Amino acid sequence: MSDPTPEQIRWQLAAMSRRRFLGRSGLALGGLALGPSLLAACGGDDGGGGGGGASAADFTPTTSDSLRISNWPYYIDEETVGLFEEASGLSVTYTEDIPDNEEYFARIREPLSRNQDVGADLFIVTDFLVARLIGLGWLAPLDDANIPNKGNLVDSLSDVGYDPDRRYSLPWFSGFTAIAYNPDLTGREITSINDLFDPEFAGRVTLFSDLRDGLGLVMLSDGNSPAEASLETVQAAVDKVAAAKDAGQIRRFTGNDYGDDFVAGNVAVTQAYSGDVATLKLDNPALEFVVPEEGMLTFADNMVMPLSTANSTGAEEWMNYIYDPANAARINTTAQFISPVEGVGELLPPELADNPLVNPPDDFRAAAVTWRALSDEEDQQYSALYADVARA
Amino acid sequence: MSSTDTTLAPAEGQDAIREGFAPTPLLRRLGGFFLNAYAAMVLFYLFLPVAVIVAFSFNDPVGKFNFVWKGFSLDAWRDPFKYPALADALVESLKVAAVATFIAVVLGSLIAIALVRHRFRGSGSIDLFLVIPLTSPEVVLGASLLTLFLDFGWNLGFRTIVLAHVMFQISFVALTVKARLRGFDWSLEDAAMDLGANPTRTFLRVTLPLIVPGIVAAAMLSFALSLDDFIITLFTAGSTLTYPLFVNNAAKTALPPQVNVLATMILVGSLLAIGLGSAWNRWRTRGQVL
Amino acid sequence: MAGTAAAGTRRRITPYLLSLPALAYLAVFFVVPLWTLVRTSLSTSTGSVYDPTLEFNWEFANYSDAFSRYDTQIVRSFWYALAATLLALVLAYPLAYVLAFKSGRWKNALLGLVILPFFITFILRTLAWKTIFADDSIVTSFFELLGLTTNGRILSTQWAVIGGLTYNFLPFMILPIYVSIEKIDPRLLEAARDLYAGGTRTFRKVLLPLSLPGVIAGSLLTFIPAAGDFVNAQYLGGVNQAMVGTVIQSQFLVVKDYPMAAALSAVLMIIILVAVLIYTRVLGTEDLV
Repeated sequence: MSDPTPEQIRWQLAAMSRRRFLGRSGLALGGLALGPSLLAACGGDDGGGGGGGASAADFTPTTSDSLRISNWPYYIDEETVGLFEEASGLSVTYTEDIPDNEEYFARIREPLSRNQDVGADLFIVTDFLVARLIGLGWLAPLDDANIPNKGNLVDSLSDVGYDPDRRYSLPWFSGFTAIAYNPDLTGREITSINDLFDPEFAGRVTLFSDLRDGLGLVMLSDGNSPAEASLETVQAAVDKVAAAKDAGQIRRFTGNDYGDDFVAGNVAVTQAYSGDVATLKLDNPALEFVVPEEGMLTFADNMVMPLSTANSTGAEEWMNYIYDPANAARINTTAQFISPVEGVGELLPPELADNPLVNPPDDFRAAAVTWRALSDEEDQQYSALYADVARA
Repeated sequence: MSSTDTTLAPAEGQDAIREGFAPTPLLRRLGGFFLNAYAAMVLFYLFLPVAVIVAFSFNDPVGKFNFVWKGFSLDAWRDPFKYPALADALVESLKVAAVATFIAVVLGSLIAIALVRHRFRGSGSIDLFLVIPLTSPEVVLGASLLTLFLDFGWNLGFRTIVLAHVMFQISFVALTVKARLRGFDWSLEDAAMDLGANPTRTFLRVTLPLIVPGIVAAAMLSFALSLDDFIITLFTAGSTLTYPLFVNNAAKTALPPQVNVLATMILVGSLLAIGLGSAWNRWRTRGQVL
Repeated sequence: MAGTAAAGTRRRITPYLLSLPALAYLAVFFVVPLWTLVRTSLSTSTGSVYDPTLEFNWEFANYSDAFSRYDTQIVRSFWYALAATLLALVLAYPLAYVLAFKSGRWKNALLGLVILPFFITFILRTLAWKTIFADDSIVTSFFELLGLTTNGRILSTQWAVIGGLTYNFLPFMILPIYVSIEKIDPRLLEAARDLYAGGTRTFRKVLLPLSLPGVIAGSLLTFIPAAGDFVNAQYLGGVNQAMVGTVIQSQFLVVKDYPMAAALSAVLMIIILVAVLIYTRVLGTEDLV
């Protein structure tokens, strides 16, 4: 073989040094090279950012052939999504990834503030969060023309302080927040929120760690209504809970997971949500939900669209579908809360239609209170006061 | 050591140097037995919740809760994939864990080797620096990472989850591999090179095999870490659901027995893999004195 | 011979090259978020409550605030983490020893078994413990007979939380100790025995020093995450078991006092680092770990 040409020598030298270099840190380079390409190959890019408008005022409708819905767990039946897909031709991704309002808000806050995609075209959160989002201007207005069934909304929910005329939200389900107890452990009937503070049940009581649900009920037990909440009444309730905590009255502050201890028989009296009762009773038929003499709270979870929604027409079509009483009734048989759709009561099976927690008569609704709208500063201040007791 | 006397007896005229309690053979056997029993007890402790989870996959699903034993039922086993989102989330988690663990093991092992094998300026600071990710609370770190990803303009999903996981896995890997490397006899490398092996060959044939147990242990830990991570994943996942995200979300309300069924299936699958690996290993080393 | 100079240079830059990938990665995906954390901890929150602007103004008051308001939780977290680490050490060491020296062919299988429970998510394991330790379960009644319960229960007490922490971090203690022990030449232990050293002496003078790197690594990998944990306290603890992590979580998510959450996080991190430095100095290792 003839002498190598200069090019060949250069190539060989390069090859040799490369080999040596690779020998030592080959693994590292390999990792670096493989890593990103692996990620790129596997990475599924979600739908693009920058939605239908920078603010509610100049929001332009968007449409696509897919619809992404985020909701709480166990809030829907098994057929509706499929049936809706058939009826609308849309491909629906229904994710149950909202276990807690504040957790969800913490996740979507950054993207929403930059008008970027939040992973959902429609999501369902509780009224106070809806109020906050409306105040921040991060929600897309509803086009009533696409939601003719909107008229089926029950009167009591059609005009709320945080969203007059329901421009941004439509209720999904509402419910009551009150007390539940285990007669086998209490030995007697429970009728009052103050029974939570009965020393007889020391260490076997749970309260909600949430400001509105947890502290709201305690305020009612003091005879103060959250509808007229003030710093004084809030502080009084906080002090009451703090004293009970120090005295060992309270076992635990819970979120939606109050059911664990309650069903297992670790807890005698607890704050509870009305829609959970039916399922709680399946595990322990003795458990009872109580409408206390001091009154109870009501809440509503609402469907809303973020400004960055990728399919506002699809979302509105979904809302319209839900507000058809037949569909609403179907969902209601599984998610046994209170439907906001008029006419559902007649379509429910008898045991649900007769259940005042699912199909409440008017005096029930009247006994229930909601918090007055709080300013952002008040919200934070009250939350901080209660969090120092319930979450610290 | 081929003398007839198998113990080192003291020289003539010297007292036996008895340090501490020298047990008789029986006591030593007993001690050994207790040691094994203790280890078995720890393993039992590790598997106690697992046993409960498997048992409750056979629970009769009455309500939404699966804490109280209602009755034996195979219902959940007849329909284990009733919740497709659950299976999808599991697959997603496995994919994330596999990719993230690979990257973290590579990066972490390299830096562990650098820190132990070589003395260089800055090694002390790097040592300290590697500990810091372990100390950071996940919630704040997760939120800051979210901001970072959004600043980059990235979409949240598989890529961001993997990147977030690798970030905290590196420290775990580095610490575990370093523990293996400490006290390592580096003269073995020199010996190999004296015998003509070049650096690469030495690394691959001498060094690497000796530190592999450390790397494998680090990989196992990282994989488990990634599979289990909740908070950081919560912030960086966007709408992608990983297994812990799904289960944690559902658990706030109720957990169907299908979750237990899938967990049992993972368990059985892994046990089979371990068993097969072990059997293969034994076949491979048959006849060898270990 | 030719090439020693080159070999010398290669020797000198090799550690930097090896460290570079990990450091570069952490520089982007850890240091930057960490810097955000530090900046936030020294800022004040102004403007909208839920979409605040953070003004950086060296607000060290955040730190003293965090420390004074939540000192109970800080001390509690360190106590729980310490207890869990000690318990884990006591449980892990003998198992690691048995795995390394006495398991023969079953070594890898047993190793796999150690990590296997952790392929089931944390929440399932924790809920299983809640079932096992339910107020009226056999196990709890047994402990009640021994007088080890508070108010007749184990859940919602500090020992439930410590137990949860111990359990969940046990593999992080077992595996590093295992890899460290496994490296020891068993003949060293035999030699010690032949030289009339009893069991404890062998352990103290031979086994422990040689396995110390593993013990240190395991302790760090257990203590550090345990101190910042909050999920165990959330599920297994009651009203008086809240840890620093719980407070950070609530300050961040619920109260949205981002500077406070960041400052508390920084306080936690600094204290842990100081504790780690003292720990490794006391144990006499020449460098940090």
